[in-house]
Amino acid sequence: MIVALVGNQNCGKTTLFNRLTGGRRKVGNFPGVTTEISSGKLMGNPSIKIVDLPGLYSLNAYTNEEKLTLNFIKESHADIIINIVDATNLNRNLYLTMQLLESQTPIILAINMADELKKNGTEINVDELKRLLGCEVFLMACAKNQGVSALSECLIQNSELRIQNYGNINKDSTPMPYALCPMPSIYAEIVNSRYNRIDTLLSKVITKQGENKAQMFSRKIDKLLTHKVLALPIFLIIMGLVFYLSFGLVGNLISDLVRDFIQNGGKALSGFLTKRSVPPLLVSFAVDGAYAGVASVISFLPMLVLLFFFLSLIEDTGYMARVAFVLDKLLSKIGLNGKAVVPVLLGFGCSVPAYMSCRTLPLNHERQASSAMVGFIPCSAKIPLIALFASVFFAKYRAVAMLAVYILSMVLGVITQLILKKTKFKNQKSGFILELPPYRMPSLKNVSVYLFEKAKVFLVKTFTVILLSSVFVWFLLNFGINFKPAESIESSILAYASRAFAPLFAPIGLGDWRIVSGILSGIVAKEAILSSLAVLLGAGATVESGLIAPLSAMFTARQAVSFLIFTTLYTPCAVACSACIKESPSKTFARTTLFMQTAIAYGISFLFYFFSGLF
Amino acid sequence: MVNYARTKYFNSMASITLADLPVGTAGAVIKIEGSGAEIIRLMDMGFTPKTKVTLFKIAPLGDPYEVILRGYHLTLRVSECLKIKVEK
Repeated sequence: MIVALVGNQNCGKTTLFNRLTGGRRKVGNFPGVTTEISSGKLMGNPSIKIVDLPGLYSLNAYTNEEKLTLNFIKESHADIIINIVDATNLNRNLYLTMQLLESQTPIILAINMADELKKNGTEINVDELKRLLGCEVFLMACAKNQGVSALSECLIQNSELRIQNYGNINKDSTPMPYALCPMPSIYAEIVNSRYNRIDTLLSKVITKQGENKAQMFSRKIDKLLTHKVLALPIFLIIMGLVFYLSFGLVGNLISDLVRDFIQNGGKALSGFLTKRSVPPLLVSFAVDGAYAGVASVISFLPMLVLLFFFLSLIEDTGYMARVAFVLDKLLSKIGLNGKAVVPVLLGFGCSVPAYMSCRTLPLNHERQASSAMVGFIPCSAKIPLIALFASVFFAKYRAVAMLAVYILSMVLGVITQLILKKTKFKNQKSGFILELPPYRMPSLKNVSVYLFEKAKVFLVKTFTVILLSSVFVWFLLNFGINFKPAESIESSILAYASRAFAPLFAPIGLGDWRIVSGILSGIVAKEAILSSLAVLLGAGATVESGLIAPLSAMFTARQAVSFLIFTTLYTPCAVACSACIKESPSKTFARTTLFMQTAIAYGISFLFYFFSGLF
Repeated sequence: MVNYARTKYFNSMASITLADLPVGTAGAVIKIEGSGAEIIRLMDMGFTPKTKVTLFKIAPLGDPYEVILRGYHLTLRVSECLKIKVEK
């Protein structure tokens, strides 16, 4: 039996899904966190499949995710639909219920956040609601795991027979087709009749009406957080704090500890293997190839986890929706939508989830514009590279240099957006209809589950893509074009390939084949730029400290800047590229933006290198 | 900052839109003008005739607006508010 979870955005579908399946999925307090269909097995009865669908407000799908859900319902993939509604916002949430009942879809109504209802002093007559709607109704508080077991028992009991429960609403008339969308004037009548029915229904089942305390509380907080003057400074302070804590203070501290630990591990590994008289080539493979690459990446896992921790706090509390509200005007000036803050902020962590979150934008051109913007947000994998170059070549002005790189990248992103707005997306309308959910306490469980998932994805990527790529780079370095161990690095495959590409990079001052091979390996993963430079310069596992001397010998300051510009701007890593193309409504557009990024990187580096050479 | 929408519509009181309501006051929806998916979405979100809508807040940069209807908070741009005709 297939059970689908359907409901408005931000009403707790994913939390219910996690409760029913014992699964671990990201939950947020931002409308539209679930952007794809995912499924799991019901705890207690694996033959029941639970499907979590993206939220939708109406069966008249407006966004692409809503269309995804609509098609799932339309093609009757589900045997039964659990329509989950927010108890504190019944009036609007029941609108979808009305539509589902009209179209004679078998549903079970799950009223979530019933605990808040109690707190507010509101009372619902569930039996009366059951009678009036003609379907099963459950009160629950998914976040507190209350009332969920009654629902899953009901599912298990009914797993054998397909529930033929179509509700009372339209029993005698023919079912309404899905997504009925005639002339607006006629549609207005239909919508009106639905809401009138809801009003009548609620007046019968709500026996005592209290005030919405969570909402009152939110209004008080919003007096400050969306204040006319203070809103923007507060946002900047919060984001500054988030970045300072993740990349500055705490992130650096933990990363240093992890790095020391890893470096000692490298020495120990090499000593251990040499003692066991393992051939030097194999020792080199294990230490310089596999270990060095993976170790350099793991050392900045703490930074990434911290950043995602803070971003998920911001999202779970409901502040992200306010940020979208505050910044919408600013972002609309460059053709973006307030909702684009999610991909942009995630982009500072990792481009892959950032590209995926572009789905939350309702219209195709907004999704494309946001994904083009993500390409210009330097991801955290580039931080070690930028930081190292900044400290080697601009020792005194390290922070300024790093900031300059970020600003350059963002400014170019904004210019690209302006060009897109004036050309490709000219005359494109865009809207901003966003629900502001009440602030909620983030659940530690949800946040930790999310972080665990993020760290897992990162580690899996490290041990697959990055391990393979660093082993691959090691192979290219240690073997000649005759596939026999190379006598020196000079005669390695990578040296040959990079020399072939080198003339292409000579105009931007990066004609040294070792630099070129760093750039080439960066296409696989940004972390690989530094790790392959480390291998090339013979720094081995002692990545960063060992790189300082050889780097300052290899680059002039002018070349270093050109290198920084190019590596910050050029094409995202392979994983991000595939996410970008996969998520884009137009594959051609996605490929073009990715190509254009490399072209812009080359162009800006060239301009810098050419003009700085004149002085 | 001159709010174009406000001045323009205040001068001709013939038709009041959601954008013309003073902050903190409520109006009742008369109808939604225009066409397209956006209009349908506004209706689905609960903007139906006689619905009480309160203009709650204006974003710091002057757009979008935050409104309260049917017991929940929603934000929409001025361009969208202009399509919603209301009476006080």
